[in-house]
Amino acid sequence: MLSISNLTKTYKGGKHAVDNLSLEIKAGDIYGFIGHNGAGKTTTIKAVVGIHDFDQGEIRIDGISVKENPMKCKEITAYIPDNPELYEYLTGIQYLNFLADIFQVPKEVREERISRYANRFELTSALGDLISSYSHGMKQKLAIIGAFLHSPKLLIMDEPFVGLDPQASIVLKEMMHELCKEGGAIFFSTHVLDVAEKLCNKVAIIKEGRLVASGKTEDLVKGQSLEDVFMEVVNHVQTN
Amino acid sequence: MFRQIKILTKLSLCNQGNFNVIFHSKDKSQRNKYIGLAATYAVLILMFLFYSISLAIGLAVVHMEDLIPAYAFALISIIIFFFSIFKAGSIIFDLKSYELQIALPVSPAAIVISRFLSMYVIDLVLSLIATLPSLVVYAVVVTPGVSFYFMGIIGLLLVPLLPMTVASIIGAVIFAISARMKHKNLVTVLLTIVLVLGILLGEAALGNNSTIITQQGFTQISDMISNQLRQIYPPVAFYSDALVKGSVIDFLIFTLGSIGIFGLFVMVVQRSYVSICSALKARSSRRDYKMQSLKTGTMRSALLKKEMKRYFASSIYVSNTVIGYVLMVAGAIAIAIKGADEVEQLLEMPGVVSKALPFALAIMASIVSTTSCSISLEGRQWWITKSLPIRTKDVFDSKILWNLAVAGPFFLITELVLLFGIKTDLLGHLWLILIPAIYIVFMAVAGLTINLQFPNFTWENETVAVKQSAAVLVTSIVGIASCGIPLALVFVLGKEMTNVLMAVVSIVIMGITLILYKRNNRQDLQEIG
Repeated sequence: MLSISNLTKTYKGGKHAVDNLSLEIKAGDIYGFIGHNGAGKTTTIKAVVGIHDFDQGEIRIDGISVKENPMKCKEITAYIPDNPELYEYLTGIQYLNFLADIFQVPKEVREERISRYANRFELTSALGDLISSYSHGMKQKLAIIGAFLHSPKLLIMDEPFVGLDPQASIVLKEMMHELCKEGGAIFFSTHVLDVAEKLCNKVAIIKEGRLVASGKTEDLVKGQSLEDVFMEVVNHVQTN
Repeated sequence: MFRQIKILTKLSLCNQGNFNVIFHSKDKSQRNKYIGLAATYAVLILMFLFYSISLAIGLAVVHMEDLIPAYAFALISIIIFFFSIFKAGSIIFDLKSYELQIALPVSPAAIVISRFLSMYVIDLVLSLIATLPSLVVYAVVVTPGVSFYFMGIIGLLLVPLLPMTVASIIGAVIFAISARMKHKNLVTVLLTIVLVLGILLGEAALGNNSTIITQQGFTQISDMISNQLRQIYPPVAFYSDALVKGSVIDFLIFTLGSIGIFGLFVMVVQRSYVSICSALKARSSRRDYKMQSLKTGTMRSALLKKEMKRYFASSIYVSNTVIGYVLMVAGAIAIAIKGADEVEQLLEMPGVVSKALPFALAIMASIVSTTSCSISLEGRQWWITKSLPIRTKDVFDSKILWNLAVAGPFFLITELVLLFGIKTDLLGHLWLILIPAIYIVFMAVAGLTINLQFPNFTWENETVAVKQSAAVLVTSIVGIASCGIPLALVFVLGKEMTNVLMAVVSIVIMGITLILYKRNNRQDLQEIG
């Protein structure tokens, strides 16, 4: 579903933000992306969703190159950023309807999905209010509903659990599993290693722009905790 | 308290002036853009200096050197007043940084003073450029005593204080009134526009009276101009008499008055500052929405609706971009009611209505466009547009179309008023329609092009994007120059060539518009911001 080959992105000062990174995410995968602050997670994610350009390598979504056909890629992808900066001058329902218009989601389908997801997140009653009156968590919930609205094949998320209350976190995890059961794939970054260990069938660890470990979670962990593996891998690379 | 004010003022200046980008950005192209902008400012400063010195020398040549301080003072005070009236309210009551700062152990007074001072620093530079050369010319011609230098230097520092305080009081009152209203933004926009039109009409009326008086004789000119300046801006009297006559009492009245009114303003505002900010921040939150049938639309209509919502969500965006169109309508009504001759006399611009009205209307429509900051106003939400499956052309078209939708009603009213209000031949009416229309479209496209060159997505206060950004400044210069040059050519080339000139300008402007439009649409959204 998502194929990243030899991705390299260099900052204007010359430093590599991402260095020759390759990943393969298949339909049904919930793929966790782990690393320190500034390791290159968000840069990779932003390159995948078309917010940032990249210098070298290739990114393909469902076999389509994001460089050659970005529109097709964006049509089947959804993205939730680490900080949900949404259009504060719109009401929640206006924002969702705007997204539905952009993705041309049919009337009945959008009404059913908005109703269903908003109920699950207990956000329905607030949909008529301006987004500027929302708390961080409510904005995050709205961004999640917006991302699921067009039933994407690939869902990309940057720290999706930050700011969510426990119940909303559970709902999001359920929705992630549902999407994968329908043949979708999820690629998300997180600092919460417990979540990654329990939720992801595959994990990748990035350090200073380079991939230092990746594979099935169970193969990487091998009876240890993901936290131990992460520290071991990161420190091992440091000493090398 | 002084330390707090110093820190907060520095912070506010950093946000307003993009100094950190200039000094610390590793992105060379971004830095070069700001260096280019600094060069533009330098040219403007030189032009302003040239105007200021020429005016002072001109007055000295006709032996009216005593008017130099009054002229310089009145001119810069009026400029500062009009610049401040639009931005003062939204800078002082900037809610984003208010939330960050009020949580810190700083007093509301320190916040209010620091925000005022950040405006003061910029206006002081402007004031020095306008006033200092004039006073130097005065000192060279008159060779005044020591008291002139003493009062002159202190006076220079105080010149921006009064117009800024008065503008801030008006801005604060508008914000305080609108904070209690349901439709805050609409009330703010209407109050601002009514106020600006009222001041302009009042000044025009004063100017008109004096024009009639000045025709009575050359010997009385100096006194009459002095009276006219004092009528337009009464504090001129104290400043001028202090410097020219060495009047210590006038100097004290001016100094204590400026500081006193400022102090009073800070005292009053800081008392109700938290409650005004809280009222402005208050959003109606009913939490009673029930799912209902949703209207569907095309991608383009969704983008256009989004632009509309964005526009009306910001009072400063509306008032700043609509004022040119309001002036265009007001001008057309004045011409229809008073006639071309009287309006020309009022403006002290002979021939501007009778010979070059299409370009005069175009200038008003070109002062600023909504597109000149529409990219910057996407702010930190720009990621949404970039990550959605939307073509560059559709995004830009929605911004251009919204600009035309804003200009459209004003343009139609102007044309209807002129169609029935003035007598001209068929070709004359055609130019009256065509030239402003072409310029409105041109400015919508050019504004977007310029904003794409100077985008600013990291503003904390939208006033920075709407009023103080490089894109808006450059767009205004381009707009005024692109209309002003052909307007001047109407007078240079003579009446016989007017139709040819209008035809050539129309073709050139349309051509440039098309080139810019295509160039804009070739851009990749990924590379912007």
